[in-house]
Amino acid sequence: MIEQLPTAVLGLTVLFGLVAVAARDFLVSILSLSGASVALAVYFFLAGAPIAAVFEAVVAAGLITVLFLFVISLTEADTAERIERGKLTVVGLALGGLLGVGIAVWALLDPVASEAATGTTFAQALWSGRSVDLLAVTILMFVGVLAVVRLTAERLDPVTDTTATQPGDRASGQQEGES
Amino acid sequence: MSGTHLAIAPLIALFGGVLGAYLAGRSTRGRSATRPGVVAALALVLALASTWLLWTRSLPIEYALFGEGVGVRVTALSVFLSTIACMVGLAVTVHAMGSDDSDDAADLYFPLVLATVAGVVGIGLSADLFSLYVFFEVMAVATYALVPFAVDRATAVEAGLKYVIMNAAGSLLAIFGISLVYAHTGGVLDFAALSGALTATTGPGPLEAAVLFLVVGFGVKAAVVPLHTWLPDAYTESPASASALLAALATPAAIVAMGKALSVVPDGVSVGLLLLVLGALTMTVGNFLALGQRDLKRLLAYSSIPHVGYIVFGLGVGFYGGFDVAFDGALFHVLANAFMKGGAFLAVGAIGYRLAGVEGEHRTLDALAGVGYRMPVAAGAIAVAVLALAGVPPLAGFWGKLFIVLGSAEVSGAVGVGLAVIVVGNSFLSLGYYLPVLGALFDSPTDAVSSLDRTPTRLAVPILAMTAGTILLGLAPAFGLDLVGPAADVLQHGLEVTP
Amino acid sequence: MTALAYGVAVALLVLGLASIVAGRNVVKTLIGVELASKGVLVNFVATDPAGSQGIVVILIVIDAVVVAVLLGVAVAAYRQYGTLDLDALGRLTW
Repeated sequence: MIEQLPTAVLGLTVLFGLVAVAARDFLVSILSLSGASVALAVYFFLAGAPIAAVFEAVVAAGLITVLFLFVISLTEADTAERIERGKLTVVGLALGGLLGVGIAVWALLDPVASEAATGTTFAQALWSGRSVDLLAVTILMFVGVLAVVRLTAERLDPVTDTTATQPGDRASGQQEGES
Repeated sequence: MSGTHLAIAPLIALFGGVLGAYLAGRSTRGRSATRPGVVAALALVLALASTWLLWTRSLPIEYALFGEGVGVRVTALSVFLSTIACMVGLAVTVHAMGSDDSDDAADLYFPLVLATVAGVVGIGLSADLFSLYVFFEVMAVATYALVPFAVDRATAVEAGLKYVIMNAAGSLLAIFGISLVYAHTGGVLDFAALSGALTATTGPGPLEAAVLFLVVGFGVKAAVVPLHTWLPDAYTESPASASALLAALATPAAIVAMGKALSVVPDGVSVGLLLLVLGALTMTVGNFLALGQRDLKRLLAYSSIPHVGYIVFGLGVGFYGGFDVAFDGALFHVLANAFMKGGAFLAVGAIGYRLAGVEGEHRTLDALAGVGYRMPVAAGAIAVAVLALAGVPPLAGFWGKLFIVLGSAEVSGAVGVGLAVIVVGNSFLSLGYYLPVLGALFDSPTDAVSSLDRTPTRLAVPILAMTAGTILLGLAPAFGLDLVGPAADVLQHGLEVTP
Repeated sequence: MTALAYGVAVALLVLGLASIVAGRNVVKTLIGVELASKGVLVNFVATDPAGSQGIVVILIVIDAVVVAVLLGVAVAAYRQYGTLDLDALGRLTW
């Protein structure tokens, strides 16, 4: 039964992916994408990559879903209305559920090894193994923030500038999360 | 010890410059381009100086931040890419300080330019395939924002959308290819170890698939036909200095990245043949596409495609038969292309800067007729660049093509002659659209043009520097070959570290 | 098991590319980008789950940055054209 679990989770990932591509409704698409990320995170955990699983759940399933929902609410009036109506349910479900999975993964991690030790050894391994890449990714995130700030800048209407730079703020929030 | 820390100095200088230029831009009231520009130029000079210091040491140098793990590996190829990147970056930065390319957002424009340069430097320095991808992505993301930098012009945004979608898909294919290599070798990505770990299988296998993914993935950014469709719009619609950065640096760097990734593939896989065919296709199709163009910037954009073709073709001949001279030719053309395309796009930018206030349409050759009499520096630079691009001796573009032709001729029999004829024939074909440019620039002036001022000094300096490079590299190709030769050896013989 | 994972990786890549090529809306295209990048992650994890974690984490972060920038371009395009329908954004030739 347990051996079948990774297979089932992988199948679920593809199924969610299929729905995300095929669905006509953007909301369904985005939530399916998020579902695929969660399923993939579970697979990562089962395969023995717990840290990658946490990142997949929090960043890919959580953060990116929020970014997509944000853009959709900005550009598709009717979908925006539905998000508005069911805002708490939808966003709450997406975020809460996904963060919940992330935390659950952490909790499940505990019996394997003591929690603090895993965290620090991983950080050390990552730093010593990929130090140059980490440096580059840090700059990449900074560049990403600059890019988003520029692309969403609205020159003629400075009042809306604060909302326009929101994706940039999100990206910088993720920068904190990464370090 | 100082020698080892020096290895990462160009990257650190550029990364510091990204932050520094942003902070300098934020701290300036009125968003003047001077301060962030000066910071960016300083970072580039520092990076160039440390690159030169690296060049004087015995290469390759291995270095990892704080000890072990995947770090950087300084080879002759790294020095080659870093030198080109910093020189083009410097010209672009100086040009952008004098023009209005940064569009009231100098605090964003200069960091993005520096990040593009840093990405290219990193491509050269990377010690394993994954680092190569990370730095490639740094370069790509920075250009994602540079192409649609004029966010309030609809065509620029649309060109940007096309550019980012195609290139994001390309990057995905490249990293998928890298993940296939990872799966195939069971976790080896280091360039030095890869050539030993990769063994050719009989018949099509994961390695062949990986090679295909790498070629197509990097090929999108390199604008290899038929993946070139983003290029004309992106080059035409981005700010002039950003077009120069893309054409002179980012696109050729993608080809070098492709070559670096493919240099570890064992002989059993016919990489050379694939690149040969793609290169021949790219230069022929590119030349035909450019033939009917009347818009000067768009014409130059289209004419970048055949030059991508020459470089890919040179690499293909090199991989196919293991000919040194073809690798030399390909990399020499990367160097020459940086000066030629950089000078041409910056000069077009200067003309556009002067014509910005003039009524009416002013991008076609007809509208620019006679601009050579009013703006001799800019038009002269375009004339030199265009002649060099066509391969007229003794300008820079001639030597790269000559070496590629010599390499092709080394392929035995009629095939070799045929390959050489393709390159030479394409060079003559390109005269078909370069000569009208010359004719138009020195035609009798139109009313709009005849009231123009001369090229502003701050724009003339980088343009003249690029033109001087084109001419000097043509007159004394030995200087270029000193840099190119060892870099080509690294590309050809892999990146094993000699103890 | 590993073979199945590689199959899933290819399936995700194909699904994503299909969405990129056939998507008529920018958001659909970007969903394709995101989906295809998951295929890459599966490849890395399936090969060496513990050893590739550093790579996978960095890749997830890169994907997030890329998608954020792409969405930024989409917002800029929406500001200019009032739509994200790729058929309507046909002023420049492909």
